[in-house]
Amino acid sequence: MNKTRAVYITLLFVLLFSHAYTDEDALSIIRKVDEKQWIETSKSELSMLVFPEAGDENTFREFKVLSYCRGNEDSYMEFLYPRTIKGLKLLSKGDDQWIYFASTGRRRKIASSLQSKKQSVKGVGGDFSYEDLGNGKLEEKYSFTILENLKNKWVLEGKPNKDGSVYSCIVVHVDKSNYLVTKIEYHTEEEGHYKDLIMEEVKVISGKQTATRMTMINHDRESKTVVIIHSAEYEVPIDDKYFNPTRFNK
Amino acid sequence: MMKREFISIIIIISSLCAALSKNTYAEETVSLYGYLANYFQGSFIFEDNKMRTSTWGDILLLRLKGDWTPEENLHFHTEVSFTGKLGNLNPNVLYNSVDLGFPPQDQFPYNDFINELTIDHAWGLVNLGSIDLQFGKIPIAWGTGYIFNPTTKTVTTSYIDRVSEETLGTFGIVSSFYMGEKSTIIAYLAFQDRSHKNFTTKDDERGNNLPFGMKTQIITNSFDISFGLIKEVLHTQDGYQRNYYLSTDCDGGIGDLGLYAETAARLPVSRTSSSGKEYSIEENLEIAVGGYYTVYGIDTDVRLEYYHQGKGESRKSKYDIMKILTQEQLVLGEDYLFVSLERPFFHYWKASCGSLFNLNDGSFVLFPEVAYDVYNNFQISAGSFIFAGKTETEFNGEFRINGTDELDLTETFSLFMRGKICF
Repeated sequence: MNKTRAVYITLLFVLLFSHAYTDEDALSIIRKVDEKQWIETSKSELSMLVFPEAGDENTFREFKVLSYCRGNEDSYMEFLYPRTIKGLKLLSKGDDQWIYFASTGRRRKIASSLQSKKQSVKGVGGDFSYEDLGNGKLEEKYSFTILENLKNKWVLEGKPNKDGSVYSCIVVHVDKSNYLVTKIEYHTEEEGHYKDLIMEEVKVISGKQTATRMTMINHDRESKTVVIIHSAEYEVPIDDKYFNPTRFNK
Repeated sequence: MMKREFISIIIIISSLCAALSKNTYAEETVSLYGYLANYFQGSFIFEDNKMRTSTWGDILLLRLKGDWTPEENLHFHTEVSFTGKLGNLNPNVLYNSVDLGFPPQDQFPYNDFINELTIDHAWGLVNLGSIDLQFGKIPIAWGTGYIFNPTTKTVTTSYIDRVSEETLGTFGIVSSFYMGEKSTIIAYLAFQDRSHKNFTTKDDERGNNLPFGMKTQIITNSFDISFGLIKEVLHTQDGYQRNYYLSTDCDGGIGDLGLYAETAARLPVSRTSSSGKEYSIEENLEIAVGGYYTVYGIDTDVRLEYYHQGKGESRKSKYDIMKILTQEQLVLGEDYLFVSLERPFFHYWKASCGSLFNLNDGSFVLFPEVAYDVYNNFQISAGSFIFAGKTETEFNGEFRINGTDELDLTETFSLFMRGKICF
C-alpha cells in the first residue's frame, strides 16, 4: 500500500513539475529567440510586394523602404519607391507612432489605439499593420507555453501580457537548430486565425543569421505581402535624429 | 633650426586638419524625382433645370524635386514647378469678365499669363548638434488641420488650385532647437509677406514688415502639443497689414478616434487700416478641430473638421468677394463643417466623397471622386464638384463686383479628370 501511495505521489510530483519545467522551457526558448533577434542598431534596405490576391502572383504593387532600428523599441522607415509616396516617413517608438507626408510637409501622430494599430500604413496598404511594424521583445509582449515539441522545431503559443495588443494570441514556430522563428500565426477575437508570417531564405548578413524573405498571408482578405531584405548592417552608428518625433522628418 | 620648426608646424596643422575632418564626410547622395499632373474640367451652369452655358479649363503641372546630401550634416532640397493654366482654371480669364480695376493684359506683352516657371522650394539644412538651421525658400507648414490651418500664416491658398499638394515656399530662415526627444523650440523669420506678391513697394524694406513665428512642441503620451506666437504680415489693396497671434496645436487620439485641434487667437495689438473696432475674442479667434475614424466593418475612413473663422462674415450681405480673389482669405463665412468618406474597393480603386458646408448661409459643395492606381507610379481619377446654395450664398458662387458686374466663381456643376505620373 505504502509502495503504491509512494508511486502515486511520485507520479503526481512528476506531472506537476513537468508542467512547470515545460513553462520554463518555453520562456527560455523565447528568451533565446529574443536574444538571437536582438540588435542594438540596424540599417536595412528592403522591398515590400503587396499582392491583393494571394493566389495571383502577377498582380502586385512594389514598395522600397529604407529602415533604421534601435533596440527593440525604436524604428524608422522611409519609403523610396514608388515615387508617389517617396519621402513618406514612419517613426515608431514603443506604442507611439508618427507619420510624415513629404508632399504636404506635415507630420501627424497616429492614434495609438487597438484598431488603429491593426491598420496598414496609409498610402501603402499591405498586410503588415502598424503593430506588426512596431517593435518589442516577444517575452515582454506575450506569455508563452509549448504547444508542440517536434523533432526539428518547437511550436509555442503566446498570450498578450497587456490589453493593448491587436492579437488575442500568436503561435510561434521556432527552429531548434538555430532558435530562429520560421512562422508566426496571428489570431484575433474577431477573425480567428487572421494572418501567418513565414520567414524564409535565411542568410548570414553582417555576421547575423537573417531571414531575408518574410511573407505575411492574410486569411481574412486572402491577400499577402512579401518583404525581401536586400541589404542590412547591424550594430552601426545611427544618428539620434531618426528616432526623434520632432526631427525624424528632416 | 628653422627647417625643424617649419616641419613641426606642418605636422601640427596636418594633425589638426585630420582631427577636425574626422567623421565629417558620409557618402554623398543625390536623388531626382517628381511628377507630371494634368487636370481637366468641364463646368456647367444650370438655370430652371436647363443648362445655360458651359466652360472648360485645364491645368498642366510639372514638378521636379531634387535632394542632395553632400556630407553628413548638410542637406539641400529644391523643387521646380512649371504650370500651364487655361480656360476657367486660369484666374486671369475670370478677372477678364469683370472690371477689377486692373490694367488689361494686352498692355503687358512680355508677361505670360498662362505659363509659369518657378523655383518653389530651394533650401539648405544644416545640423549643428541639437540645433537645425534651415534657410532659403522653405515650405513653412505649421498646424495639423486637414483642410484649414489657422497657424499657417506664411502663405495663402488659392481656391482655384486643385492640382498641387505642396505648400508654397517662403523666403526665410527656420531654426529648431531640440531639447531631448520630448520638446523642441521652432522659430522662423520670413522675408516676404503672406501674399507672396510679385511686385515691390517702398514699404518692403521696413523692419516692421518682417513676419515671424515661434513655438514650443511637447511630446506627451496621447497628444503632441505646441503653443507659440506668430506675427502675420499681409499686403492687401490697403497696404501692409500686421497681426499678432497666440497659437496652439495638438495632435493625437483617444481610443480609436484620431483627434486634432489648431487655434490662432489674434491679439489686440495689431495695427491695420481697419482697426478701431472694439476687440472681441470670438471675432479674432480662428480654430480648426477635427477627428478621423475608420469604420472597420465597412473599411471606410471618416473624417470631420469644424472651422471657425472669427474674421469671416455670418451674414451673406457682408460678403466681400475681393478677399477671396486677392487670396486674403480662403473662405468668406464664419463657420464651416468638412465631412469626408473614403473607401478602397476592388484592387487599387478608391472612392471618396468630401463636402464642405457653410454653416451660416446653408450653402455647400460636394466633391465625389473615384481614383485608380493603374501602375505603381500612374494614377487617374475622375470626379465632380457640385455647388449648391440660395442666391447670394457663398457656394452659390454669384457675386456682384462694384455693385454692377456679375461674377460667377463656382458654376453649378463641374466634372473633372486628373492623371498623374510620378518619376
